[in-house]
Amino acid sequence: MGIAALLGLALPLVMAGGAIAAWRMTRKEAKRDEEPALWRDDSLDDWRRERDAAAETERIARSQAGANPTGEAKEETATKKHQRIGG
Amino acid sequence: MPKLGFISRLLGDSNEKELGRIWKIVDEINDFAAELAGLPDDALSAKTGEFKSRLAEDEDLDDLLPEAFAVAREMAARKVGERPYDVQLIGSVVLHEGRIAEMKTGEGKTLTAVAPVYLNALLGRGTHVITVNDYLARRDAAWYGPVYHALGMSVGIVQTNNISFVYDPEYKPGEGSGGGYELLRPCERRDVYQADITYGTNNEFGFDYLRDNMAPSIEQKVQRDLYFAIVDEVDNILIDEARTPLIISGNAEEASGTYMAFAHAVRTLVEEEDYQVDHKAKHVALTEEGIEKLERVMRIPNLFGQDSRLVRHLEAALDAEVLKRIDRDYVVKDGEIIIVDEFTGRLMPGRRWSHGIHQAVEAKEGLRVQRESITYATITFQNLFRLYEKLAGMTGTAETEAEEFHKIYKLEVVVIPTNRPMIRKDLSDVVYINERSKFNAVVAEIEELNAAGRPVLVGTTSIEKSEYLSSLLTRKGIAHNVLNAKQHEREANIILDAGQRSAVTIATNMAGRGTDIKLGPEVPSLGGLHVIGTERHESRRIDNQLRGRSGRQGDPGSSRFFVSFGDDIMKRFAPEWVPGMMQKLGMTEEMPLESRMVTRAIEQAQQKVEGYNFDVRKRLVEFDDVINEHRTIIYGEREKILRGADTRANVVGLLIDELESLLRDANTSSYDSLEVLQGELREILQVEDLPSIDEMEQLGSELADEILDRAEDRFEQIEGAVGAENMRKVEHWLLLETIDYHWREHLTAIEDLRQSVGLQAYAQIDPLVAFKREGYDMFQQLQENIRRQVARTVFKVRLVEQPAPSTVPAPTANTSGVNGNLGPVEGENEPKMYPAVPRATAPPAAALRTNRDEVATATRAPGSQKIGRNDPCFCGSGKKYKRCHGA
Repeated sequence: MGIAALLGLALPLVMAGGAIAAWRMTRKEAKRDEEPALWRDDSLDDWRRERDAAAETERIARSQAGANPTGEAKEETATKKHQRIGG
Repeated sequence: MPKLGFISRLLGDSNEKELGRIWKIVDEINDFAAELAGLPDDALSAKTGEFKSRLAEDEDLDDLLPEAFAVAREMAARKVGERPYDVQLIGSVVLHEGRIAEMKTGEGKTLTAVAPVYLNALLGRGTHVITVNDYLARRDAAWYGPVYHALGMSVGIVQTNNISFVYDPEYKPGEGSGGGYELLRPCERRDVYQADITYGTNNEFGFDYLRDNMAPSIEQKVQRDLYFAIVDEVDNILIDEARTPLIISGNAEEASGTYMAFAHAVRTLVEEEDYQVDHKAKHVALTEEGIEKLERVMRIPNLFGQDSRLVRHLEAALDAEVLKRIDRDYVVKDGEIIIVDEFTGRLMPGRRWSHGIHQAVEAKEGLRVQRESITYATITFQNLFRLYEKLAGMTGTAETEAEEFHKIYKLEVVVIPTNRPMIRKDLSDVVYINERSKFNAVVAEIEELNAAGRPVLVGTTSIEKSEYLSSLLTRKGIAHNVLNAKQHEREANIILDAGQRSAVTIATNMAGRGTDIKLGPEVPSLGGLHVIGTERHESRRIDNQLRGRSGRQGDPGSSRFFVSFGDDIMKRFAPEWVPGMMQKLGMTEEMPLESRMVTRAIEQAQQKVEGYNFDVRKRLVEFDDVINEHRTIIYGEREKILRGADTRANVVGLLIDELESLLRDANTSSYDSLEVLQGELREILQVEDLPSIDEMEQLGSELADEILDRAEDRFEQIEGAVGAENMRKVEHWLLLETIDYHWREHLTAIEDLRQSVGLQAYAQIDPLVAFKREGYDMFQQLQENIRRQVARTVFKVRLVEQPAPSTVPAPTANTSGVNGNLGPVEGENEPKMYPAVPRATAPPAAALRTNRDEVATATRAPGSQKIGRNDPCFCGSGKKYKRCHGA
């Protein structure tokens, strides 16, 4: 068997091996991307959830009470405000 | 100043060297003590006249310093019973020399300022003492007023909403007296600035500067040239507050419903899946999935398409939803979002976040979304305070920011020794695995100290954390007080009790700077006040301010910070794997880390954040410096006009320049070109002066001379018809109106440029360089626009005779000269001539506002200084005067 025949057999094998290695690497990377952050302090999550729920209830109440996206009266009398923090 | 360990030891501490030099001056001051103590009051008072005469001759302030300081010290001892200690005089010398005196809590900064204020006021150029709020300005002026008064110095106080007082020992407020307070007589704003010494807040000095540069006449300017200012709590004002420029603005377009739509849409997003948070940069970045989800929810095919406003709304909504948290960054009060100051823990009514973020938070909270605004005048504190010829400051915490003070303000920091040695024990930080274990440990420590009778002050970083800790203590049955921006009505009483036996006080940063906690009688023997910090702040100064509540004036005390891997500062700088690894190594909730090494590591992390924040502020200044150059030129031109510069030459010059520029560009041999030229000239010249195209062709090369002659003739003809005096008024008004209008436009345009110029970085161009280049072009355009408008308006002005008003009109805060009476009022009961030309876009004066909780255009009317029953109370409670101190 000549060198050419040897190469003819080995090359597809090498190429297949390379492809498998590349596929495994990308899979590993994708898996790493999917992984959540290594560590997160969740010790006060319950408390936060309670507060968030209470805040959400207040938001809904404000929206329903018409803390009024369309109201105009207040605009006229407002004497403060304007702008800006953060340059 | 950076500490360079062994080099400092080798060469000697520069601070110590400075103190050594100043001690010699203090010895000189002390040499006068015996002589002055023997003088009667009137002879001591007469020293002021003597000093002024010596200044008028050959001497300068430094020559007078030892004796003048000794006089001020003696007078303070006699009038208010406070004789500055020698270490306070060191601080006084530092202030006079235009530097920063770092003095620990309770060392008497306010008294330290008296001598340098007196010395510098001898020049008669006005000395300003800048405080952080109105109450302190009034309190300090009234307290030391007797000293200055006895020394022949006048004292004024500027307050929010254009309220002004002068110190008057005879004054008592009463029925029909026009309001005011005991010893503080209401007066005109201008009188306050004419006083030898003026107390006020940084905001008021800044807004008065801006208002003065919007004033339509010189009579309405109130400030003199800015000579010398001593800034109390200098790090708070020149560093923390310096992130926010002062802005006077008016309403812009109606707020868009888009804010609401985005607020609802971003609520559907999930962290890590749809967006990621960069804690260090405080930035939220959407993922591809997040973008797709939003486009689906909002039914927008491409968020990043043609309408760039969508991106702005999106960024604002993400910021509001993810980064801004209720009871930490803001509270909702009376249907409004009120920002909580990160450094002081106090509410900042009237202040708003920029770039639509405030509107986005309003939408998030289901509140009415307010309009956006247009800037009319703005300046950063950095550039405001650079206007002072001499600047000095005092605070308890400056050294960590010495580099910034030096680089931005050219201010050196000198650390003043305490009168008595400081014996507070600052214990090492204790690090817990998570927040729950940290707070449990805090409660355990409070319980132990409480049982021993020691008072404890616990600092929290937010309102919500103070409420959480309060709930834990309540569960344990430990009596305590809570002081935060939501519960501040009893602030004075809480602070009064905080140093008493077994007192437990939970407070946000409100109990930091400026809070003087005095110990109860038996408390020193128990070990004094113990301060607990429940989190490290980004800035070491804020931590040091909290620690500083303990150990004042040589009292015993101690402090300790509890931190956890869940804290913001740790999240930003400890690598994510550290807490995970600690857990794997067996660290439990009950097992804290405690060592000096950990404390040092945390401080290094803080130094990094401080450096990062310094860079942000430095960048802000670098950008503002570009606008500052423009502002200096425009305000300079305004000033010349107000001071009666030759307005005729100015207006005629601009008219001729504009005509020449049009004529230069025209080709007299081309019909088309002449047609265009005629169109342009029609906008400037009166119809009878406008040549026909045939005429223009015939004139050929003499066309320019002919047009210029006609324009000048017409100007003279109008001047002859209305009278030179009226014509000067017209010119004065026209120039101011045009400059103001185009300056406002320029501010808006350059702000837009600043927002967008960051994208240049993608093209490998430094955004600052691009900003300078494009800013310069825009300024050229501004000057051209002014010339163009003056030329196009001058022949269109008509004078309208109006009946004289029955009473003198309210003086016009009408700073930008808009929609108000524009002509000067000279006498009563005779018709006045007012220019009457259509004006473009200026809003009514009443619509102007500041970004610091006051009406920008509050009238400078006589008698307006009385606090109305419905006005906000001076104490800053946010309540109406009638329901607070006026009750």
